[in-house]
Amino acid sequence: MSRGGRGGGRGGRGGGRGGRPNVPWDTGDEPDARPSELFPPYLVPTQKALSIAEKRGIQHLLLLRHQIHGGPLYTSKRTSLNDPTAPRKLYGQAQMNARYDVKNKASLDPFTAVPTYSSKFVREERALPDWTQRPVCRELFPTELLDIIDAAAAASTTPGTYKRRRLELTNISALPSAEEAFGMEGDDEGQGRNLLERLDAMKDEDGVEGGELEDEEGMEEEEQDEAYDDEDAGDYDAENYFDNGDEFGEDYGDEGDGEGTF
Amino acid sequence: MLVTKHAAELCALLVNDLYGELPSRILITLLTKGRSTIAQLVQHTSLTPRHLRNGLAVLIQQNLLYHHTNPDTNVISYEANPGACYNLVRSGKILEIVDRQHGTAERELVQTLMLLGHARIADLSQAFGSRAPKANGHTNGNHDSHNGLIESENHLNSVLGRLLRAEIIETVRPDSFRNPTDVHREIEDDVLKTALGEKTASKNKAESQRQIIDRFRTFRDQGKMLKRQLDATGGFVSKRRKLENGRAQNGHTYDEDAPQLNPNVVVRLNHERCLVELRNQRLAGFAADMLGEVTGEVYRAVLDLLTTNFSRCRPDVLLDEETISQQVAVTTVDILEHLDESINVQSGIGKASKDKIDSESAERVRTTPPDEDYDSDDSDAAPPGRRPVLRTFDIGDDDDDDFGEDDENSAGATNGDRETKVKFEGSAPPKDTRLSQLRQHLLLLTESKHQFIRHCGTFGRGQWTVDFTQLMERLRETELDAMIEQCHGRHGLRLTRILREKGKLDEKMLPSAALMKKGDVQGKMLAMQMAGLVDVQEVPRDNSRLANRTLFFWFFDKERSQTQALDDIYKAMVRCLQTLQVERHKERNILSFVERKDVQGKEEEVMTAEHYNKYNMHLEVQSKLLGQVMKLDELVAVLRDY
Repeated sequence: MSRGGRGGGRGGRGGGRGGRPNVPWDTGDEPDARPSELFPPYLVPTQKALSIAEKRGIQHLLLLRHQIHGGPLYTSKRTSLNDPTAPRKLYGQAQMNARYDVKNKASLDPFTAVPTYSSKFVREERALPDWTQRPVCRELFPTELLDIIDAAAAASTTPGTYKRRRLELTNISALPSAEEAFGMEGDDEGQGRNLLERLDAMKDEDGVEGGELEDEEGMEEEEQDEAYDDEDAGDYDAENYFDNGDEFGEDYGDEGDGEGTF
Repeated sequence: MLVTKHAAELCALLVNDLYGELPSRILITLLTKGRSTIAQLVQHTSLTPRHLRNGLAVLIQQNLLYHHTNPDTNVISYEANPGACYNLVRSGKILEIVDRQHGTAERELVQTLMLLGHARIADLSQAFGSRAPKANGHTNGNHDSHNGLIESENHLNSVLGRLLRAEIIETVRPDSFRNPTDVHREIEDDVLKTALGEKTASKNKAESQRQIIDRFRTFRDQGKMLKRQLDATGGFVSKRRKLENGRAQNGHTYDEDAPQLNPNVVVRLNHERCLVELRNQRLAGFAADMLGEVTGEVYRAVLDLLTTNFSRCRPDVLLDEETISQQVAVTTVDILEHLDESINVQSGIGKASKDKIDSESAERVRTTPPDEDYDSDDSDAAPPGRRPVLRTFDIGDDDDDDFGEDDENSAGATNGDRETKVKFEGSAPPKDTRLSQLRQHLLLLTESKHQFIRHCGTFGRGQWTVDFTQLMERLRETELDAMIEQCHGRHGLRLTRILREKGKLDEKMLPSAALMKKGDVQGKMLAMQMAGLVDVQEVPRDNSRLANRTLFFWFFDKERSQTQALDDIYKAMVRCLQTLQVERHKERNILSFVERKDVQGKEEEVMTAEHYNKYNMHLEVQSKLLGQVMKLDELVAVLRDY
């Protein structure tokens, strides 16, 4: 009770003195307490046009990125969980990591999981880097990582038996530009060369990993596609399913007659 | 290097974009949790040990980690290297500048090294050696040697040697993967332990300090051992690319008899040296903005010459070495030789009549860098009214025939009383004229308020040097000013400049000093305080500590506002990259389509104009966003690295 009284007293004294103390930030006018505008006019600064050097720098960066992505050490597992536009559920990084590279029914995307013919052209996703294609400098890595990066060398006990890996340069030398990708490029020669390169690349890759099998599958699928092709309104055409009621009757009649006569 | 939250996010995003998800997930944990072992990482990331090891190995391959094996316990700990991670954003710029300064072949090698992280010379030469015949067989004749790419093992060898001598490439040893701070501490412990037996007198202390610095320097310079050897043997004459002339030679002329490099050496890119080159470009751009294109080019030549032996922009804090003690200087004649022939030095200089020029003060030789506080009385030697107006002096305008005379008494008193000759535009200017015009540009650079160069001697028609520390300080100030003006307007800038000049200033003085209304000043100051640019200190006049008996001092903390600005920039960069991610996700169908291996063959069937337009638009957005990131990086470099 005494506390309450004291508190009240102090409040009264403060209020009772009246007038504001003379402080340097007091300008005499009341602060503007009106609510601010919901969308105040805002001048959006725009970027200056990029200089040639900057553009070249960006092109170099993008090409490097493209090359790295084509290399054996790039890992990505872009699942639908990783949609940046979706509202983010904050499970925490640890929980996201626990799902990394887990293949089960929940992690499948029902729309893309069924293999199709064209999926053989899509760049495969890799959850773990592929160390078999790179020569590594063993002395620079800590000992506990050696059997990961250089499994073959770790397995072979005698030093002579292990065959040295060869470093391969990337064969990606240009970015896919819109003209190229969509065939709007003017000069035929360049296009032809690119096509050749591309075919070569496909041969290499398919040759190694059972391309024939894939091809067969692809063929089958294509055949099936043709069988079920509904190019001219197809095999299920509800209105014309029974060609014509009359004809049917006639046919039936005819047949019936024929049967009868036999 | 301490990292803020935004810097850590930025590093993880960059690694995610370039090297994939797995390394990035590990990296962000290492950045937030600090040095860890694999067992600890398993706990923090909930990734399996197998995944972790793979990811860590990728990070080490790309030089993004420090790791250390404790020799006693055999425990291996890993630590993120945020500087290296941040440098990824500069990859494009570095490639661009290497391409411009050194040549296409050099650029290709640097790009390959960026791709591989680090590589053994034997592997590189094998790879480049085996590539050439294959390319030949493919499209005979189409593989033209004019594109300047690396053609043979020999070519690679010479390119590699040149880059090693230019310090753009350094050698890697197991020690390079240790945190330099750790090494420093270890050396310190070691030195102090042996010295423990004796009494630690002050003399001893200085001695051990010197020992520590020596040993750390040898550790740091180990990457440049190979460069030293090459310097000693004199192989690989470093050849700078001059724009037109160099290009023709570059493809073919490489010294066949270049010494073979040790194939077992592992090499990687040296970002510190690249930063020096980037800084040169930035400064040249700054000068070009201030004084004009041609002057910028001249300045670029000066910087190129001056910084050939610089291995880093700032002195190492761990070495606490003073700034480069003996100043390097270049002479006007050297600059003229180095300057590209195609640059027309005639343009970009203004004209002024003789009586408006105080040649004595313009040609004054300053042998020591000006002190910061001494700055104002620096000009007292010249009478106030006679200081030359910026861009309007041409002492050497007509001295094309009395150059010798001008050399002796560079004050040029005899020049003043002659009439200006009529020049014939068509005739090719003799070399001498070119030299004197070049001098005009150099004097212009000296005379600028930013003091780009300093005239430090008269030998060889004038010696010139650059005080990098002071110059960068001014550039930093300019950038910060621009940023403040952008955010808080003209008045905010005025207030911060007043505070910078006066130090701490009483709140009551501020409105009169700034010639602003009291209310305006207070509003501005509060806004700036909230932004972290200025702060207030309260000093009570007596014990009562009443508000009206208290003095309020405003002050501007430069250090803090710089770090604040840096963090803001990191954040902006993160936002740009995140926006780019979203954009990529939006267009993922088209992008994955473009990446398909078969697209080239079937474009007629699959191509639609709608997709084409969308893809083009996406590329535009991408380059805009990346361009913004690069511009922000420029700012980061100025504020933090240069």
